[in-house]
Amino acid sequence: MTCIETDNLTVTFDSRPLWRGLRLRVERGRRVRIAGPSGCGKSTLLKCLMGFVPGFSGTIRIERQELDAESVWTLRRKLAYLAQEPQLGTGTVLSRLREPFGYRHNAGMRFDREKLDQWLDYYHLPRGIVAHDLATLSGGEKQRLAVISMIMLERTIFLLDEPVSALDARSRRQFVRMFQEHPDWTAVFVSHDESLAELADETVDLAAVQNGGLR
Amino acid sequence: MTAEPISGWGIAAMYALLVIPFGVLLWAKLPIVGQTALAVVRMSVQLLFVGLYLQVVFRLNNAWVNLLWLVVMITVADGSILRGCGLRFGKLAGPLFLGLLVGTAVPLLYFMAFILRRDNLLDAQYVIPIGGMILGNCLRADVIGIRTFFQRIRSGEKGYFQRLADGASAAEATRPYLISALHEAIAPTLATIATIGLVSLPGMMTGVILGGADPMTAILYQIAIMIAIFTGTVLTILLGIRLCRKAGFTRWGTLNPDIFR
Repeated sequence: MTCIETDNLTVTFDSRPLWRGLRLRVERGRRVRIAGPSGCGKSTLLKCLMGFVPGFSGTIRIERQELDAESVWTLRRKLAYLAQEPQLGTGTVLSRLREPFGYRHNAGMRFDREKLDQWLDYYHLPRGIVAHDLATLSGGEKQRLAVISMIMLERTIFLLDEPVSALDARSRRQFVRMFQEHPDWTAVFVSHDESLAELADETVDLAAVQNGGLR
Repeated sequence: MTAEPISGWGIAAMYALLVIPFGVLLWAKLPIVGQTALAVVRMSVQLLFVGLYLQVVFRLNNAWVNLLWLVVMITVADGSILRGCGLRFGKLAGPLFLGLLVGTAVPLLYFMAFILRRDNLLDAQYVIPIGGMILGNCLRADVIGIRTFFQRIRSGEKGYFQRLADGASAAEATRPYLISALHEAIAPTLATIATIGLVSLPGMMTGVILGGADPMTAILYQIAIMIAIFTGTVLTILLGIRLCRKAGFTRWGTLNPDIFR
């Protein structure tokens, strides 16, 4: 099954197209790495797939359903998104991790404390960190918690923007292992980190489609 | 007993007091002497005109004219808040107007009906000055609140997007920003409430005393107006932001860049 499809996708920024006519096909379980020089729109592509760039032209389909202003609210719930240097906000770790389970659209989901502890152990975070204030955490701790927050929502299509940039070698290995242990997880990711290269089934060079080329 | 009128000599003496601030400005060589003079002239002309209008409005004391006066005040406040927030009038002026109208009307009519117990809820002598006090005090808080709300989402876009990605509706994703904006906006009003009487003798109380009432009556008026102002502040910020949210965001839930100047 095709999880993500784009046809003739074009995004312009300040009247200049970041890329033009992008055609992308991501089948279930495939991991696609987005490559290209800085400023070529790699992060924008992920945002675009999340419906955060309303001004795009062309077509985006998530699990065969076209992304538009109506469907975006349903389709976002199929996608797990991790921004580069994620902002977790204020308050305690636990309140932030619980927050998405209070959203109306996630009403059918239960916050599983046991599963949270398992993921904290997996990423070598002390279980007591949940009582800490987010403002006191290091960049690496924040990124690991952002990954855990994303995983807890049990989605299977991942859009990841530099997901391991603040992680140490051990946590990076755990991140790769996590995906290797879940072959049904689909991912489109941007990363300059070579440790993630082994995850990629294929690489899309955005620079090649900047001037209207088709993949 | 009513307030003692100020004579021609009194007015001259009033402006003569400006010698002190102007002297300080000139001594400090601050480049705002012209600006200050213009501000004083503007203030005097604006207030004189208002005085003339109000004399007519009070004499007529017609409910529709009084209502029109309130609508004009709210319209001016509407534009002033959006300008202060660096936001465009186009899509936001209408929803903010509605927020200000309801947020001001609720404490104002409550004040008229249950505190002053007026049969005529739109009696010019009361509804115009009290409406003006509520609205005038809401204005600063509304600028802080609405500006904080939109700026925090704009500068903290990643956190906002993450909430949308986690499954939040537009209302759920904007809620933390609404709460922090409300908190920041009411903080100055709270500080004023907490120190009133110790740091300053407020305008309404002074007015009532000058009008001949005893200080205890003036105090009770002041307490009532402070509560009305606080209620109006909370309501106008909350309604202003909630009503502007639809126009301030796209149907995709992203901030509408066209609202910023």
